[in-house]
Amino acid sequence: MANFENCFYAFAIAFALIAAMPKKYYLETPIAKIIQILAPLTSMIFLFGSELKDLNFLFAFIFILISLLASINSFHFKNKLQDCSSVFYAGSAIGVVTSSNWLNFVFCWEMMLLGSVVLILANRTTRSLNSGIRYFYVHLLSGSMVMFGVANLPTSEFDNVIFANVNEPYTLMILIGFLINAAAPPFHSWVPDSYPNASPTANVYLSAFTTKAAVFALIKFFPSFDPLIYVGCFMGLYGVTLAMLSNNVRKLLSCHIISQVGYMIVGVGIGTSFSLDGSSAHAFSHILYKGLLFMTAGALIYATGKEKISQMGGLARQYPFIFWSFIVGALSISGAPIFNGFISKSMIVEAAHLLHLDPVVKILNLASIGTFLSIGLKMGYYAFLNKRAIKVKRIPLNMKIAMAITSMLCILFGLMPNLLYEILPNQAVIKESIYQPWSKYHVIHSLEILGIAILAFFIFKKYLKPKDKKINTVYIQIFNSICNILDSTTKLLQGTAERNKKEISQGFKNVFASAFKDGRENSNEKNNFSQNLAIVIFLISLFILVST
Amino acid sequence: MNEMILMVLTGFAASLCIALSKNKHTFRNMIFITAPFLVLLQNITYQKDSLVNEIKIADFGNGLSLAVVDSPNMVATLFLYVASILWLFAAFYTLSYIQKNSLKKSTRFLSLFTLAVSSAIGISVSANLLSLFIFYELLTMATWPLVGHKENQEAKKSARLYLYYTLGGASLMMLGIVIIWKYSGNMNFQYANGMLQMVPSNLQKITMAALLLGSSVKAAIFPLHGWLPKAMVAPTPVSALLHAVAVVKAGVFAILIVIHNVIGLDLFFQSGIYKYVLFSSGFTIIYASIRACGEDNLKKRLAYSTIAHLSYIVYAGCFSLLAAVLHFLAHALMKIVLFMAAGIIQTETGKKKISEMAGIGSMLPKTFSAFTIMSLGLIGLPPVIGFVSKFQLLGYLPNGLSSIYSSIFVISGMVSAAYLLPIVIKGWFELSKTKKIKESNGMTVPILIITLSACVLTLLN
Repeated sequence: MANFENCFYAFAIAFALIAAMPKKYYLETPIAKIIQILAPLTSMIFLFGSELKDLNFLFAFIFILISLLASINSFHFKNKLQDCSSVFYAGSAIGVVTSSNWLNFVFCWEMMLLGSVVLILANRTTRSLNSGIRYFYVHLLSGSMVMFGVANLPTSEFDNVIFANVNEPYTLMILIGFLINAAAPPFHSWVPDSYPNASPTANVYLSAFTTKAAVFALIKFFPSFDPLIYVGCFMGLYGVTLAMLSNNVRKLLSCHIISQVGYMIVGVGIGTSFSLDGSSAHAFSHILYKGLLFMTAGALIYATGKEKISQMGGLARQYPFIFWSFIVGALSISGAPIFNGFISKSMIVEAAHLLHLDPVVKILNLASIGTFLSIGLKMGYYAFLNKRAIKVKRIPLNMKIAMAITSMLCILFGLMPNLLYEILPNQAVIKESIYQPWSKYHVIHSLEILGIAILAFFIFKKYLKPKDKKINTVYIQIFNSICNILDSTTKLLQGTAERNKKEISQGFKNVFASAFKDGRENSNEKNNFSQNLAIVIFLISLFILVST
Repeated sequence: MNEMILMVLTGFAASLCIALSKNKHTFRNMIFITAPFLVLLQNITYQKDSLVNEIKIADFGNGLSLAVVDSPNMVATLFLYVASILWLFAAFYTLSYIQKNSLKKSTRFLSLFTLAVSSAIGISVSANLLSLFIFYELLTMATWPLVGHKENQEAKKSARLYLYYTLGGASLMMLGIVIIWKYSGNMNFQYANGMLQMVPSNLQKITMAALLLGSSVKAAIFPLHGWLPKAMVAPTPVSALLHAVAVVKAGVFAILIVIHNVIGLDLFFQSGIYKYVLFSSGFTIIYASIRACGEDNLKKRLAYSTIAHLSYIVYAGCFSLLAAVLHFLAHALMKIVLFMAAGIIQTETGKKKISEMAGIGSMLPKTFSAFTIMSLGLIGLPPVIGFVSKFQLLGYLPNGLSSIYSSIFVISGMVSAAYLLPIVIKGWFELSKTKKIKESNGMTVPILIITLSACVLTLLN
């Protein structure tokens, strides 16, 4: 265990060094950036000193790896607050997956909240401030729930605790807390709400840690809890639907986090040692390819200065490098052969198949189709291939290096799946030998899915054309209504208790309301009902297509 | 003379010296700083003599005496340490505050300030109910001129209100104490476990009600909380040390003593009076938190937050002392820093209202960092000790009680975030054209040390 602690300390020291660095040195020298790269490198060395190959090791390894890649990716970007908070965030996420008692676990869980909130706020735009506050409240709820449950636990045992029974209130609280962080509906909207408002380099960090730490916690404490299968299936489809509706590049990718975490949660719900391995493996792969996709999105935004797909176009010719990295990421997330999504996603589908959970298999396949449709085809076609060239600037070398390494890792794990299978906690693939990723059935099946998606794209191209649509309105409305309730309650209380009503309610408006009310995203995006309906009908027709 | 008596008397002697110092300001300031040092030193070096239970300072006959206890119980020890340690930091802060703000009639201020804190220390080590009462009233009398220190209309009004509330509470407390004295004769409360057995059962309820109501004035429990936000007209050191630590914590201390030692937990639950305490403190938590959201004056917002958090302690104290005591400590550390930071902001920039505080973080980075960290602590987030105390508060319930009771802390944690977070966000992230101001060390160093120690305490836990 000592090695895990050393990893944590490496990040803590890096945080302290960067935070204490005077602003002048920070801006003029790349020392802070080098420290940011050195921290994961040193902790990687510590990590491989340990003999253990368990769940903690797997997650700690991928967290360290992605923080290394993300820090390379953000080498050119000077924002001291962001650097501090990203190191802090990575360190506390590693703390969550390596902690050995409950108090440590909750402590790191809450620290992760602080790191991620500051990472979002560090962008310093009005939108990022507002969404950062909303993010804070949602995760404060999650943290309090987990804390509440943990504080009421009858045992202080940590390592071999499995909550199969959620009749006890404390277990339920812990589960809700985990599910909020895993972006399960109805608490999913914080992902597409806040991630697009962070800075593009911060997205790589954000996409990796919070949800995957929650998946880790679910695998550790709630394996084979049946309702999770339904939750996961719903998330799988719902995320994809949201993604198809969105126009903003990073919002689209954020929605896919919900969908992909849905896969992992299905694996947790099935709960055989094979499916749990599948979830861990998928979390591993997901962090890599989602990191890659966010890097390419960041590069696009850096190059064009635009966020929306409808404003881009024809970029493949100008940026072949970004284009090919994007293709690697898109094919990985869709589960195409030779990429790493293939070897992990098929494990979960196979696990469901082995238990004859046919509807689950079908839903997951459908979500796969939607994934390729919305990322690979919609974003790929309209951002890279469709005609229209726009003015662009060169992207820095470090971004290219980061993208190249991540793409190579995606392909490496796809071609040599045993590299991943050997470090899985149960090693079910190697021990039980019930499953071959490269069997003829799997390859053909995944090619089939890609084919259907391509077919569907050309049939429904008219509906998929990116347009501004408002999604996750409910989420912001809930916050607005909470704000209104608090507002009127306060006014009521003050009306009875204070004489100088006017001054105070004015003060309330100035202060508290600024947190929420300005958070009403006053964009001119319209909620187009008929178009949503078209997409839903389209999904249903696809469903029929697959199931027959 | 016994060392415990010496410790209590040191503060009073210092107060007297300051009052008589006339215009010798250096001498006066030296005494003001030395007194907490001496008290703390005596506190640390004190050897407990477990044979002696009660050390009399003055004997009035008939079982009535002014006496201190040799080894205080858990709550009292904690109160003693919190008050004496924070007094030291507040002393440094106060001197710089007076210098910076050129506060008028500073000798009176310092003398009464010392007197008030010494009385708080007297409360924590008093052996019987009469001594508790005497020190308690001494505290009231020392504090009300401090509330009205600015001598303008508003200050005088607030001071008068303060006096009405606290003296009303005191007379109720007196009633309860007299009943207990008449029927049981024994007034030693420190290790008592139910002092009401000798009281006839028809008088028991009246006694309990009188004692609880009387002590809940200073603990600012609804509907007796009205004086606390008004008392914020006082200079900041008073708000910081007295209205976040000494006075209100004395009230909470009295309530905890009344519940656990005077009434005793058995009778407390049997008689059903626990429902009233739970309900009123629970209501206060929610009410004061929501009221805090609506305040634009920073100190008033913090005052409402204090009201809510005092009720945390009382609410938890109905069941277990451990959680209550932890939050007692945590809240004292966090709230004193928040008030001191508010004072620094007011001194350096003249801003009192939160709506004017955009960009305050880049103006006063050290102060506002401490403010931010301690706000997170009040919400219940790491790395401050508030995290540990919230953990204990959420899990304090004895077996058999529904955990619904502690879910109030989840809700009020969210509301705490609603009134503290906007300040932090406004201060750090809403940029305005501001220049960095040089912060005076005398005021920032104390709060930074307290913040650091609060963080270290968490990590050691």
